[in-house]
Amino acid sequence: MASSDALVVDNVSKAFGGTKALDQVSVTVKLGEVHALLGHNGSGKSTLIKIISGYHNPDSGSVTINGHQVHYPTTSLALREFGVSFLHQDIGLVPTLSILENLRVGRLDTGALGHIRWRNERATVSELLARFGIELNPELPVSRLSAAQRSILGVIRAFQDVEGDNSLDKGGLIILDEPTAALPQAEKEILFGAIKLVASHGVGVLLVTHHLEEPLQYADRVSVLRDGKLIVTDDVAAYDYDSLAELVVGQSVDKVSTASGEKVRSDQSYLKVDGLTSENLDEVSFEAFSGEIIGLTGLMGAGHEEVPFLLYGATIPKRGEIVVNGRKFRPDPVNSRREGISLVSGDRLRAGGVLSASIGENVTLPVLDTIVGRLGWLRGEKEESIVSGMMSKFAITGASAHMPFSVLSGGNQQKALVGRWIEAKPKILLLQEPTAGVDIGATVEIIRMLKAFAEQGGIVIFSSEQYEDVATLSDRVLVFRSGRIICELSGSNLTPTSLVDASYGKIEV
Amino acid sequence: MVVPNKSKEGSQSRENTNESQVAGAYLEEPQKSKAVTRGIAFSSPREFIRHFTVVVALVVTVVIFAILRPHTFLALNNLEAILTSQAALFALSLTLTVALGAGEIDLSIGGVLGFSSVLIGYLSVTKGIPVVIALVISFIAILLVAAINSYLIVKIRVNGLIATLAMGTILDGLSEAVSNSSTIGNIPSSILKPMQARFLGIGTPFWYAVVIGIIIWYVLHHMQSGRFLYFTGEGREAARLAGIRVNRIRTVSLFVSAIGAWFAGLIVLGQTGAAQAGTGDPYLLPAYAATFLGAATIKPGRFNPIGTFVAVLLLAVGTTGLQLFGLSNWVTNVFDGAILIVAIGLATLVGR
Repeated sequence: MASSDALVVDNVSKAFGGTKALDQVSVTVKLGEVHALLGHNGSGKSTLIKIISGYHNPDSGSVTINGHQVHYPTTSLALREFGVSFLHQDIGLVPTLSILENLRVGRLDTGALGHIRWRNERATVSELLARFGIELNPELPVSRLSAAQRSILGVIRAFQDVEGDNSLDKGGLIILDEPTAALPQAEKEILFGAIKLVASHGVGVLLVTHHLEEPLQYADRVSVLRDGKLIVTDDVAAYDYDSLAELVVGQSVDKVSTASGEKVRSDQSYLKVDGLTSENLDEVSFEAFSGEIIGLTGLMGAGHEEVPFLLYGATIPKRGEIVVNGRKFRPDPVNSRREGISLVSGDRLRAGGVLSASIGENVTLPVLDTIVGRLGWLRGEKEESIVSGMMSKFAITGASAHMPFSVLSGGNQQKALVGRWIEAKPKILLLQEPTAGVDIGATVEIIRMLKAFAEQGGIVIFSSEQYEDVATLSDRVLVFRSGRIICELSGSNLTPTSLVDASYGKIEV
Repeated sequence: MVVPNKSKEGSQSRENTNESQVAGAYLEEPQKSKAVTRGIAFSSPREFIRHFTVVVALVVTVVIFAILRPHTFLALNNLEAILTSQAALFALSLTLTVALGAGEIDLSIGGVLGFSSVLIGYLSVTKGIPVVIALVISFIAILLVAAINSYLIVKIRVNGLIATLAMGTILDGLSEAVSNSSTIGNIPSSILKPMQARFLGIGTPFWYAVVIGIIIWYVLHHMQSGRFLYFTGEGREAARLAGIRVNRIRTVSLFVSAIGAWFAGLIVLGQTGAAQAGTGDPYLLPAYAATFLGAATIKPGRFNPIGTFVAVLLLAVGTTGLQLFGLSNWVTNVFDGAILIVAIGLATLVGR
């Protein structure tokens, strides 16, 4: 443990196919510091984390953790022994188990007969919690804790992992991946208190985040990645919000006018959303006109991704009014379908197609009522012709209609899911991340389908963090930040770069 | 494995041409276009076996017993006896198929079966209430059971396995209480007659079960609501987001399984002429064996009434045949249990 660095990434490169995800990147995290890693989607940030965690192997360069060089391919167990612990967004606590069990599982103090010395355990955990300023009964199940308390518990557990039992300031490395994504502003501060405390015990902390204000407030140093290259590593003190954002975005930030587009619209909006408020949304209001494609974007967790679900009624808002075609509307999935509103969920595995049902059954689901014959009998021949028509229209090849939906590739599944709702001729089509995890060919096809749908007078409202696709597809884009719409972009102001700028709060309205 | 096979069968090649006209996509991969949505044509022997495992097993079983015991097993009255005696299991398994298809598990059906027969017996014999009123009261009692089951499972979201297991046990206890732990005999003839009559040599309860099966087949395989039910069972969240009323479907499916068990109880009561607590318990496992085995055939991976029907036949033929060999009643349990294990094994393998 002679080294004074928790993590040394030295000249690491990684390419996927032809594209260089990381190009000779070097980053050092010192013991006892909080080091922030910044970069927007596609900057190489997540590739770097995946290399450090042993998920990807680097093409060249080396990674050294606490003085131990990592030999790839490696395992998470080997990495643990080097004293590194990862805290992901979902934290990975078991909600039904107690604080004590979650913290101590795998390191419980046992007696000669293998029994657990619960009294010792309780004392250890109480002491540990007290050090982090939490006064909670160690027996409390984790499900009863607030989101912030859970995050802190995650930090404490990670701390334990790298420190071992006899917390003698042995050093180590903790990597926090977007730890505050699920936290309200006030609770972030408590969490960062805990993080600082961990660092003060000589642990190196690598903080991966989208939020620029966090490193400014809490980090010691910052590294910025852009297009797979390390742009800078420096003391945070040298930067303010604007200069940091400029580094992340990669250009001097223009003040873009946000006047709405010149497109002449029908005098009245078809959909009007007023004061929509939920857990993560704060008084969101906007209107949508026939034939419009509206993109909703922002950084991960900004609230935009929730809007399609709320408009559809798949989740229930706290407050807010939705007016469709001049009438007040209370959405729930059944009502929404009747009103001509359809949803393509972003969770394709769980809430997209039914994987075990056939491709045919999946694509005809929204249009089944058109093939109902006498006595409710579904007309098989009509269904077959609809199915084969749809499959050729969506260019789904390599599978036949009776095969289970699961045989289709992600791109083909997505085409089928988007296409089947378009075939049902809704008035409003809501989508979450329509092009995420979809190959280029399918992306192009989906964008073409959605544009054609809007040309027929349909309204498309979709949330996405794929800035390129958002810019290509949308007539106008509402950019979200911390649950609010912070600006609207359209026309020539609408470019992938302007979307990134706006998402980081860099456009002044 | 998959060989295009155009001219072997006239109807098949005609189907191919039709398909090629409507679906441009198929043209690129003609060898895959054989098996169409309706599942009539099969592209390979393997596909055929995949769909007809249980049917094949049934035929093999029948042939084996026919060879070994040609005089007793193949006798017409033996077949009639098998179908008649399994009528309650047919009714029970077919309605259970609906609940399982919707993704719900109902372990209270054994308890419901026993309770309904005891309650009808008690009301009509011990209390001397007119049969029609006894039937109505027992029916309402069973609707109440289904309402509680679905309230717990759909509304409060408790684990259905546990809730219905508990409900079944409660009903077993209530059956003991109502019958005072003794057998109720002298069942009125207005219950016995419609259950002991024969049509085409087979007891009428079998034909009732056939009618139930046809209705369920029609709804599940050929109506929109059936499609919605399967979607609910196989991908509840996806179904909900598609605007399907999943909670209503789940509730209805639990009512169907309860009502089916009530009717099966009535069949047992009419056929045996006696009501006794615990009658339903021996039916629970065979019903699950049949539905799961059925899910491995006809429409592999999906609980379906035709598969269930064939599977009940296989269970009945198997146990009857083994009994003809002089193996006593223990054989039934061993056979049913083994079949359930084979069934879930098959279902898992087919699902891959």
